[in-house]
Amino acid sequence: MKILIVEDTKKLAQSLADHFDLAGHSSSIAGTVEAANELVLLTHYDIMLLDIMLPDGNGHTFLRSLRLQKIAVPVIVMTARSEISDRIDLLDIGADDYIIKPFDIAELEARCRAVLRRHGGGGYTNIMLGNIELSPLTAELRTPAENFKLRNRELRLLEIFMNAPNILFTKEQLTDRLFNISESVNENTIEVYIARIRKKLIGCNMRIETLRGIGYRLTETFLPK
Amino acid sequence: MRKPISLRWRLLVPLIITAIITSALLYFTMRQVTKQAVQATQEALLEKAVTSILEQTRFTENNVEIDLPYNIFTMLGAISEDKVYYRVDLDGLFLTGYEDLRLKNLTVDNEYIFFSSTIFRGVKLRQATVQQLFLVNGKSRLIQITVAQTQLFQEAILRDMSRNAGVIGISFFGFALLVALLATRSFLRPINSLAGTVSRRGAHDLRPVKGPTPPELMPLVLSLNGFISRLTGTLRQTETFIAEAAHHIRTPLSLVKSESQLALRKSKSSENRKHLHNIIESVDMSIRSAGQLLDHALVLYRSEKIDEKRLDLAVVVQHVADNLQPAADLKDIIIKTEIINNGDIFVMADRVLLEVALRNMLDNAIKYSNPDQLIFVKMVLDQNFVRIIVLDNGRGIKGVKTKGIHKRFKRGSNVDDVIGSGLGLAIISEICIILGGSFILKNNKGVGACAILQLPVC
Amino acid sequence: MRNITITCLLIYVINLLPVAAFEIELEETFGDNDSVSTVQILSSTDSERFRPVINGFINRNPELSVRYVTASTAEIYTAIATESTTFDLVISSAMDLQMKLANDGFTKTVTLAGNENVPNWARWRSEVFGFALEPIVLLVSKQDFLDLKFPKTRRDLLALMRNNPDIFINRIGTYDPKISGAGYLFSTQDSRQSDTFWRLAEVMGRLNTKLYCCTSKMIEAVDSGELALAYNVLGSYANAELPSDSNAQVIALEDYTQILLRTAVVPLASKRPDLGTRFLDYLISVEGQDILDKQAKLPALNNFEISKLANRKPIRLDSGLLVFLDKLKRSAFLREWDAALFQN
Repeated sequence: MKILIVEDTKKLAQSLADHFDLAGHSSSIAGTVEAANELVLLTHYDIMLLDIMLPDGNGHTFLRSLRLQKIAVPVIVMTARSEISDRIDLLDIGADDYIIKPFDIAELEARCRAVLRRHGGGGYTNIMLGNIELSPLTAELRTPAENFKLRNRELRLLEIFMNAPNILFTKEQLTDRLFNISESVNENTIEVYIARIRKKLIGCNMRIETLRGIGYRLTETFLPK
Repeated sequence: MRKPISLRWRLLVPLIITAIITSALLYFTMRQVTKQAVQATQEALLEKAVTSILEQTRFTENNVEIDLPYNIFTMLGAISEDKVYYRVDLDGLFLTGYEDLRLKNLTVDNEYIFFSSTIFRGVKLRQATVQQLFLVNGKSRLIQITVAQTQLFQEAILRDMSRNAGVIGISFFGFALLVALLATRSFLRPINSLAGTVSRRGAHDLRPVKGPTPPELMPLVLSLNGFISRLTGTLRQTETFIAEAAHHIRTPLSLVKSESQLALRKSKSSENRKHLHNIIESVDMSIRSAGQLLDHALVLYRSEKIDEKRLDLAVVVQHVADNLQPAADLKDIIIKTEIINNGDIFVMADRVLLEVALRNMLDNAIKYSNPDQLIFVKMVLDQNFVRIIVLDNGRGIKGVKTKGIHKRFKRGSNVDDVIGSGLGLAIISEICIILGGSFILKNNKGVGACAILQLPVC
Repeated sequence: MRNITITCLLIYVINLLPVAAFEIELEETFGDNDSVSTVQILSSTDSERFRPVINGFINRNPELSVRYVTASTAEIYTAIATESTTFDLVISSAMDLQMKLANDGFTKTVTLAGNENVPNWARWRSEVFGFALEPIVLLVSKQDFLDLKFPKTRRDLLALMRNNPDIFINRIGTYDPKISGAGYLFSTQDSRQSDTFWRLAEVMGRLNTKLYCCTSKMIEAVDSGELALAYNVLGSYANAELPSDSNAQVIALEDYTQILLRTAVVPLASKRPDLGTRFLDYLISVEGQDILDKQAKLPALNNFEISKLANRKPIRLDSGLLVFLDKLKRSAFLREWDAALFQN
């Protein structure tokens, strides 16, 4: 998906962009209202992350002018303010969601997905490997045998594997991606989720392989016909 | 320090003193006027008496004839029943009447009537004296006539008059007192109405005081308005400060968190990952603390400038739940809201504060819940109150001393492994006080904790 | 017999009261000898006439006795004004002298329980109180009027005397104002009322009118036929003393009839002014007035017959009364009187 990050703190904007790039999305950065306005008019974005305090103007005004121009790009406002009255106003003038800085990148991704889901699924493409297909937006896993509705963590785990087939992930890496640091989970907890996915992949030509003592990877198996 | 004198008394006392003085003046003036009038009447009669006697005086060859006018004497007595005395002297020698009545020594050329007061037989008298020279056979003869009267009537009239004047004076005083009271009341009315206007205002109503005000009260109104505008300024500064502080604290923290997560993701070394874990953990702690400190500042600020509105509770609760659902999703936690009683529930509250409280309650519930669990938000209407109950299936607060848990920076004894600042419950409690409700945190019947926010409905 | 008693009493009184230089006519004591206190009354009214009232008073106040001293009005004035007597109540028919006593400060201001029983015209200040009336009337001998009409007015009387000198010569009587205080008062008041009085005096003088000291003598003279008429006699005496078949006829002249007030004062020198006041209060009480009117034949203040008299002229109790007491005025009046009465 194409993401426009409107944020005047350049380093933060770049950092967010790096995250999305790693997840396989493409992102643009605008540091001012003016730049953002130009980019929106030139290019189609699937979603816009909008900071409220910008050097040349206020996110409110920008958002209102976008909606007046009938530009319907989904917008998630990133605000440093905690006044909820602010956020209620934002929803009223056309923001789709808001997130309070600082946030967990995973939460931001989840909100993006939720917003896109409400907007009809633009931007996210289904991932197809072997005979399985994963829809990250709807959390649906289609196998020849059955269609599964995945739980959040199952989806995120499978997404990690399907975005990088045949790549080895250590338990630590997976734990870091899936769990909040503060949750302080046991590294073996990841095995529970691996097991859940494996159960759903029975009968498919994709499987999660265990490299004992190292980690896991998603590989294609060639089953006899 | 001396107790300040009330405005009412400051006004009443001079008015009452004025009334007393005026009443007394009225009394004495009436007395004086009456006294003069009675005296003038008496003197007119005495004058008539002496002139009549003088007119009737005839000199014969060797003798003098004095005729006392019966009717004049009758009249002298008639109006007053006062005692009458007289004396007639011829050539300085007593002729007739009361010899012990003292004559005023008059010069010979004195031709008008002379009035004087004297004491006769222990009683005060008013007397008129007239004298005239007659030429009889070439001899000049001096006749002196004095008629005197007691002043008992005058005293009686004065007594009556004094009584009447007293009644009038007291009536006047009563009337003046009444007027003074009414005047005081009407004087104080603008002040009371100004006080009423100001006190009837909502807490956030910081418009300047307007409306018709007596010019004398203008300084008060002006300084009140000045104070209001300074207060407004201060509040606005506070608001700006909180917003600025939030921005300046949260933006760098965002960057730190984002960057460290990136680093963690890219890191291959388990040693580095350990360091990054530590960094992220402390950043999270800072984030939470900063967030709650800012929330707390916000609560304090809003409590000065509370903006109560009639809110549909279900809408507010659902809104908060919806906003937190993505965060809960990360732990595969589902937030379910339900209204136990049918119908809408409305509360009179500041929406910002209510949402901060609810957000903190749900935040706590998510934080202390395990993955794949449910969080229930129930709204129970109980007569004039609604209870918002947040139930989780987490570790609960079993065996935790609940005393002081609502105090700032105080945390439960079983949560050391979870990042928190200890401000969350304190914030909820403070908001509760502002909203006129109460907050209870207790163990659920099964597992987990049960947070109950009780608010009055409207 | 009665004369002896009186003489005895007189001697007794003179012994008892060495200071009483004034001339008293009679002294009597009513009530028990062992009474607690005695009311001292000096009066110009006969004790015989006053007896029923005194008895009524004693009935009401059995603890009191009354010492009743009778004297002429002039003596009474002298006794109070110039002598150190200590009477508790002074009763006199000489209004002018009573007035003068009060005016000159010899009387006490008293507060009566039955204050409202005395109308304003019958009192002066709270010192002189009138308690009985006395019409001044004409007394005629019926036998001399067999052929004559009774006069209705002084004008009639004047005409009558002028036209019938044979009947009236030497047979007219009136008070001698020089010796009688009452006579002087009536004459002076008459002189104030109308000029007819002086014509009357002249005619009476021509008819050689006899002058009397007192009413009783005149009543006797008319009753016996010695006098054909007596001018200015006390009506109550005439009514009380004349038998129904008397030769004397009382006539109240219609042009005006003077009404005298019998008055009482409490002297300042009284030792028991409370007792004097008590007696005075009894005089004006309903019971006292009733006894005065019915038994003593001294018309009460509200006497019915007097209230019906045409042109009644009560002699006003006011300072005017002092005028004729002036010695110059008196001598002038008496000079005039003598000039009218003794023309030869």
